[in-house]
Amino acid sequence: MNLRESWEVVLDPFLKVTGIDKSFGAVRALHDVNLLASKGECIAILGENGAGKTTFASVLIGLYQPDNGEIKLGGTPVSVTSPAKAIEHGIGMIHQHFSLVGAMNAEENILIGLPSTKRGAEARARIRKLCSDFDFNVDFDIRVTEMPVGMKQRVEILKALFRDVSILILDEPTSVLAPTEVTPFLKGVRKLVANGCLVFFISHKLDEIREIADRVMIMRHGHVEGVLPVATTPMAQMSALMMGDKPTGETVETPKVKKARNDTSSAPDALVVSDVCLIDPGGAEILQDLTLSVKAGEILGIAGIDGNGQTELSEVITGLKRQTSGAIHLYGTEISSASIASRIADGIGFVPEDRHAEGLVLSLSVEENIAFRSIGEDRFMSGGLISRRAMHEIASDVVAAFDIRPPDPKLNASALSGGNQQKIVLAREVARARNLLVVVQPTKGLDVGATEFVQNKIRAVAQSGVGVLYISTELEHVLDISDRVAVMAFGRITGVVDPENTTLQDIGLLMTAAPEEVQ
Amino acid sequence: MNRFTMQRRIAIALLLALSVGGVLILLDGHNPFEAYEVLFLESFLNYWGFSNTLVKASPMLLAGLAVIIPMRAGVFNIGGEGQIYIGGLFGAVFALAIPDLPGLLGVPLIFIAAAAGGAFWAAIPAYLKAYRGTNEVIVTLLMNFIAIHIVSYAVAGPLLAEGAPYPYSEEVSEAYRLPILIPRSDTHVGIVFGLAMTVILYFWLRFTPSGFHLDLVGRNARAAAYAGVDQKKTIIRAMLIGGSLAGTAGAIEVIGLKYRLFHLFSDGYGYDGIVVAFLAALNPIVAPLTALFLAGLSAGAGTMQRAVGVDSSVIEVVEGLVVVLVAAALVTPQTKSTSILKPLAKNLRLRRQTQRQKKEA
Amino acid sequence: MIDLVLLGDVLAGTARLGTPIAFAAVGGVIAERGGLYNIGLEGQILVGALGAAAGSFATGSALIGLGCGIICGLISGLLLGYMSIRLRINQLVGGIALNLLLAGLTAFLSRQIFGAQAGGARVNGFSQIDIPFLSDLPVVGPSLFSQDPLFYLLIGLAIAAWFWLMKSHKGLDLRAVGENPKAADLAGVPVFRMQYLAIAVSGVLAALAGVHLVLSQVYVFAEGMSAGKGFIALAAIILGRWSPIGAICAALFFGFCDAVQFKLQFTSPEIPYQLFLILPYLASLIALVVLGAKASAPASVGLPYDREHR
Repeated sequence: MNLRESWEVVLDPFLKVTGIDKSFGAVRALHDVNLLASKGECIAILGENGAGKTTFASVLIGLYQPDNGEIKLGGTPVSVTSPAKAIEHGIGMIHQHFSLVGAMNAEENILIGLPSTKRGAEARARIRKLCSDFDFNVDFDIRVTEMPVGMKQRVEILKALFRDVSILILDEPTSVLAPTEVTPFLKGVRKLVANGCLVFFISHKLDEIREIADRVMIMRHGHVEGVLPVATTPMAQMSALMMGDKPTGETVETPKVKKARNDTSSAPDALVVSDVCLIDPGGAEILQDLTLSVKAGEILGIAGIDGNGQTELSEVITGLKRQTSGAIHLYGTEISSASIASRIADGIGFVPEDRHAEGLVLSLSVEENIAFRSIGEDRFMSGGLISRRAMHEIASDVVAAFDIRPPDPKLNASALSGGNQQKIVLAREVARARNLLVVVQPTKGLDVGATEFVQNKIRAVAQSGVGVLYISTELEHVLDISDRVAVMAFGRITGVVDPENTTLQDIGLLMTAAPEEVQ
Repeated sequence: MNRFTMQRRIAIALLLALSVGGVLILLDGHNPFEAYEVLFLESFLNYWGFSNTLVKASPMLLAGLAVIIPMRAGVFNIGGEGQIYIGGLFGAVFALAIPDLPGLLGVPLIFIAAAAGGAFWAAIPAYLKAYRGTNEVIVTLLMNFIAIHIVSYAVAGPLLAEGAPYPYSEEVSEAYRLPILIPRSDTHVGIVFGLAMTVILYFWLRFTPSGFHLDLVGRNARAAAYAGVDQKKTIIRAMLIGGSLAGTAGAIEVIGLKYRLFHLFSDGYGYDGIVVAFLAALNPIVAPLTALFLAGLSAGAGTMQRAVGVDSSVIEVVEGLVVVLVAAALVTPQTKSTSILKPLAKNLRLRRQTQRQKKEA
Repeated sequence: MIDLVLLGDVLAGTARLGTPIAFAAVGGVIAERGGLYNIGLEGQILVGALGAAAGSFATGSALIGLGCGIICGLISGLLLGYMSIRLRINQLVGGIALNLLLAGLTAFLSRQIFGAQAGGARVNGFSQIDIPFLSDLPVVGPSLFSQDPLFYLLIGLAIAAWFWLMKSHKGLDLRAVGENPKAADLAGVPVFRMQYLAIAVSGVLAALAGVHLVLSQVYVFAEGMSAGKGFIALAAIILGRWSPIGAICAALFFGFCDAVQFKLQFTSPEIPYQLFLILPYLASLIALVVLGAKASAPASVGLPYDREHR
C-alpha cells in the first residue's frame, strides 16, 4: 500500500531505485529496496539499528555493490561502482564516522580527490563563499584533529557542497552534535533542500524527522516497510512500522504482560559502583562520579543514547579499563584494582558490545570459543592440562542447550551467523557468571525470536540469584527485562526508575538531560 | 576456506613454485624433471645425501619454531638470524671458557648459555614492541646485522684461534661435541633436539592454558585482553622462547657441526626459518616436515648443479616463490573475488541498455 | 692540511655511499606515504643493479643500463603492489618474500647473463661530471661537485619528490590515502591506482639505488651486492620522519658513518672496524627508539584497504 502511494506522489522522479538486494555472507542486509524521489525534498530514512539504512546509503554512493537491482538518475540507469563515480553523478554522503584526514586542514580535506582544474585560487574563494552562504563557522588554520565535532561535520558538508552534489545523504548527523549545535545544523539542511538538493536524512529520532523531512522511508530487516509523507503520518504509525508491529492507532506500546519480577528487596548487593570517574587521555570526562548498585538476583537495566559512557562503564566493572577514581565492590569485596583475570576468576560474566572484535575469536572453533575465557577452570582441565575431550563435551551440551546452529562444536566460529555467534558469547558468559553478569547490547542485530531467547536466558541467570547489569540502547528491551532501570547520560546516572511505573517521556527526558541540567 | 583446505592451498602453492623453478631450469637448457629427480633422490633417498639434509634441517627446524611461536602471539620475528649468531657466540664463549666439564653437564650448559644469548637478543625487540609499540620487524632486521658484525669482531679479535688464516675460534673440547646420529656422516643429534622441542611446543600450545593464551593474543588481541591475558607479557614470553630456540640453533652449528665459531657461520638459517614457518602454516607439528623439505632443496641444489649442471640459484628462486605463493594461499580467500568482474559486467549491461534507449528515442 | 684532505675524502665517501641508501629511502617514503610498507627495497636494489649491469653489458651504454634498471624496478614495484593491494598479503611478509625471490632470481639470471664467473663482467658506467667552478672549490669541490650524474639526479629527484608529495594536488591525494584511505576514497581519490603509482615509483627509486651501485660505483654486478642497504633505507625513512628530504639527510648520515668506517679501517687498524659497520644500524635503532615511530608515521600505513570492509 505504502509503496504504491509513493509511486503516485512522485510524478517526476529524479532518483529511481528498484529491486536492490545486498548480502554479506549469510546476512541479508538489503532485500528488494525500491524508492522514487525528486529534487528539493528531504527524505528521512527511519529504522532500528541494523535495519539496513546505512547499507542502503552505502550502495547509493558506491561503497557497496548491490547483488541485484538498478539505480536510475533522471531516467538514465547509472552504475555507481565507486564513491568517485557517485560524486560524478552528484551523490555525496556525510558518514556518522567522519571521513576526514585528521592530519590535514579543512581546505586540504575539501580539495582531496578533485581534478587539478578545480583546485586553484578560485577554489579557495569558493570554499569561503559557501561557508558564508550557509553561515558555517569553520576555522581554516587548524588541522581536523584539533576541531570540535560540529566543525568537522561542517567541513564534511562543505566537502559535499563543493562537489556540487544534487543528492546528499546524512547518516545520523545529529547524534554527534551537542544540543546547541543541532538547530543551526537543521537550518543549514533546510537551506540545502530549498536550493533543490535531494537530502536523505538517516535517523531514528522521530521528532527530528518530523521537523526536517518531507517524507519518511521506513526500513526494517533490510526491507522498505513504507515511504510516507511526514505531515500526514502519525508518529505512532512510523514507530510501529519501524518496530515491525501492525499499526494499532495511537499507542506505540502494545500493552505487554509484564514478566514476574524477582523480589530482591532483602537480597545483598552483588555489585556496588561508587563515585567512579573515568577521564580519557584527551581529558574528556567519560564517567563522572557514577554510583550504582545491583542486588543479587536483580536485573538492573542501563538505558541511554549510544556513546554516553555505557560501554566504558561495562569495561570499568570488568577490568578492561581502569577508572580514574572511585571504587567497585563485588559482594562487599573491593575489586577496584583487580586484574581482568582475577575478576574472571571472581565469576563476573561479561557479554561485550562488539562480539566480533572482542567476544569471539573467529578463527577458533565453536568449542574453543566456548572455553577460551574459562580455560584454566577445573571443568576444562584434567591432570594440569587442557582436556580437549571435556571442552568438546561441555561445548556439545552448550550447543544443544542454546540451540546453536549448525550444531557442530568443531566448526569455526566464523562459519556461523551473527545470531548464533552471539549465542556462543552469551552461553559462555552465562555459564561463567557465578556472581555477576554484565551484558552490553545483547540483542543488537537479532531478530524477534533470537531476542526473546536471549532475554529468557538472561532472566534465568537472574532467577538463579546472580546480579545482572543489562546495558542497551534499545529502550523497549531494557524496560521489558529490567527490575529497575537506571538512565545514563553524559557519563552519569541521571535517574533510576521503576520500569512499570514510568513513561517513555520521563525516560526520554532523563536520557537527553543536558549536562548543566544534570548538575 | 570452504573449497580449498589450507593444506591443499599450500600444496598447490608448492607445486606452482616448483613449476616456475622448472621453467627456469628449462631456460637454463636442462630437463627440469631430471633435475628435480636428482635433487629429491639425492636429498632424501641417498644415505649421504639424506644425512646432509638432516644436518641442514636441524637449525632450520629450530629457526622455524623461533618464527612460529612469536608469530602465534602476533609478533613477527625476523631476527632469527641474529639470535642464531648471538646464541652461537654465547655457546662458544662458554665452551671455550670452561673447557673441562664432563659432556653430560657441559653440553646442556652450552645449550642454556646459547638459549640465554638468543633470548637476550630477542628481548630487546620484544620489550620495544610490547612497551613502546616499536615495529619489531625493523628492529629485529637491524639487530641481525649488528649480531653478525659482533660475531665477526669476536672471531677476528678476542676469540681468534692462534695462527688461523681467516677469522675463526679455537675448537671446542671433544667432550662437548654433539654425538653423531648416523654413523660415518656429519648428522648429529641436533635434529632429535629439534624434534623434541617441536613436540613440546605443540603440546604446550594445545594443552596448557599459557600456550592457549599465547595463541589467543595472536588471533585476536582484544579478545585475549577480554579473556584476562596480559598482552605485553605474552609478547615478551613468545619472543624469549623464539630467541632461545634460535640461540640453540646457533649452539648446534658450533658444537654439532663445525666445532668452532666461524665468521658468517649461519648460512641464512634464520631467514630459512621464516620459510619453514610459513610453509607449516604456523603449526609447530608440521615444521619438521617443511624444514626437511627446505633442507632437502638446499642440500640437493649443490648435487643437482654437479650432476645435471643446473645452476643452484634456481633453488633460491623456488624458495622465494614458495613464500610468496604460500603467503598468498594463506590469505583468507576474498569473498568478493568476483568483485572486479561483477561491476564490469553490470556496467556493460547498463551501457547496452542506455544505447538501446537512445536508439529507441 | 691533512685533516682537510681527510675531510674531503669522508665527504666524498658520504655522498657516494649515501646515495644508494637515499634513493631507496625516498622510494620507501613515497610508498609509506601512500599507506604501503615497502620491505622489498633490498630485493629491488638488486634487480635495479642487475638490470643496469645487464643493459650496459649488452649494449655498452650506461644510459640503456639505467633504463633497464628502471624497468626492472618498475616491474618489481608493481609485483609488490599486486601482493599488497590486490591480494592483501601482509605487507611485511610480502616484502620479505619479494627479497628472497629477487635475491635468488638475480643470482640465477646474473649467472645466465654473465657466465659462471659472475664477478668478472665489467660494464660501462657513468663517469663523474665536474661542475664548472664549483668543483674547483677546496674540500667540498672535489667531493660534492665532481660526482656522477646519478648523484645530481638524486638531488633533483629529492626536490621533485618533496614538491610532488607536499605541494602538488596528486601528492595531497596520495598522503590522504596513506592517512585515511576511506576518506580519500569517498572524496573520489582512486585509492588503488594511487597506491599502485606509489609502489611503482618506490620500486623505480629503489632500483636506482642498485643502478648507482653498478654504474657509478663498482661497474660490475655481484650477488647480494645490496648488502643490507634496503634495510638501512627503512631506518632512514623513520629517522627522516617520512619526508623525502629528511630521509635523504638520514641516508647521507648513514653514508657518513660508512665512510668514516672505511677511512678508519685503514688509518687506525687498532680500532675494530666492525664497530663502525655496526654504527649505522645502531644509530637507526636508537633513532627508532628515541624518536619513536608513531608521531609522524602515516596513520594507515601497512593496513590493506578493503572498501567493503564492515
